[in-house]
Amino acid sequence: MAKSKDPPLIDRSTMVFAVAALLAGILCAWLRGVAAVQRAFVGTGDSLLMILPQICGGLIIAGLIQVLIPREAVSRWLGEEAGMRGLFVAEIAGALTPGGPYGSFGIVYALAKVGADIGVLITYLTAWTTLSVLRLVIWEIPFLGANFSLLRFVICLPMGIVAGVISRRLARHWGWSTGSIVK
Amino acid sequence: MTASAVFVWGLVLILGSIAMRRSRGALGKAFQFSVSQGRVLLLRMPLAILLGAFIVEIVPQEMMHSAMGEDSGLGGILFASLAGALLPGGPFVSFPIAVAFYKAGAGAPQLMALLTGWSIWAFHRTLNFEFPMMGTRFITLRMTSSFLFPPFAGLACLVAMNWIKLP
Repeated sequence: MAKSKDPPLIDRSTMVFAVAALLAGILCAWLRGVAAVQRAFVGTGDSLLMILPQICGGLIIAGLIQVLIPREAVSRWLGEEAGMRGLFVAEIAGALTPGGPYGSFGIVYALAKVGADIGVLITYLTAWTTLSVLRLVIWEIPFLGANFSLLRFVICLPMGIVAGVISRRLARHWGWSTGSIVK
Repeated sequence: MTASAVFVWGLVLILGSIAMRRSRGALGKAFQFSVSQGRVLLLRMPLAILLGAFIVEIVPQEMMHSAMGEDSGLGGILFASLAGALLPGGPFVSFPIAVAFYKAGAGAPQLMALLTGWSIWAFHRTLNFEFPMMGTRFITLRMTSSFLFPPFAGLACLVAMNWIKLP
């Protein structure tokens, strides 16, 4: 299944985590004893078992969304919108975009290149990074509980729109067109 | 945990049946994407959770309490926002570490600020993606329009806790 363009299984960032975990483990054994290391391993196993079903499901959802809502469609929605309506569309699109920075920054870069509204782009990115519905379901609720996660969601709800409105005004005030912002 | 698992798998069924109806190749393509994303997490996620578990054991409770505890107030919220901004990587790293801080004695408002700092300030993402792709003007606009959000989220949580009980 793995294609050659896939990232390697053990990349630099995985190595960094491996080394960090190893050092923390040694420090833990030295400061708190072997029993503490054992507790950490048992706790890790429990957490993994608890979140594994959500993560597998979440990965499949991310793949399905990728196929059902292709990047071009999101670009089209965002590219044509402006005004307050544009900010709301961007907020929803951002909250629903799954995956890491490659996907979302790819969309924003492409849209900036064709001169899309800067407020729409900032709202989209801010909603993607604060609201991400998929992240909420897969990671946040299982790890941090529904009360805390939903409160965070509600608190972050206005942030995308607010950031979009402010940045749109700032860009106008400073005389920055989208073309002059992203070269 | 079970409710959110049911929700996730319900969504899988719904989206899966839509994809199946749309075209025959869609399911395979979606699955391929999922697998290529998933293999990256295969090693990194357990390592991140383990790292978080070690942090819980290592960091003295009193230290966490005074830096980011419930009573650390606005100072703790600011400190947590900054700590969040410095966390590298995606949710598979930041959430286990946030849980570790929580277990080690961090307060809910401070945790709220930490996660929002990780979302908005995100030094790692800004340096590696935003700066090379979007340039300084874009970063200036995004940051000036949202740099107050992380401490604001912490304060909002502090206020909300008058009505909502957080574990």
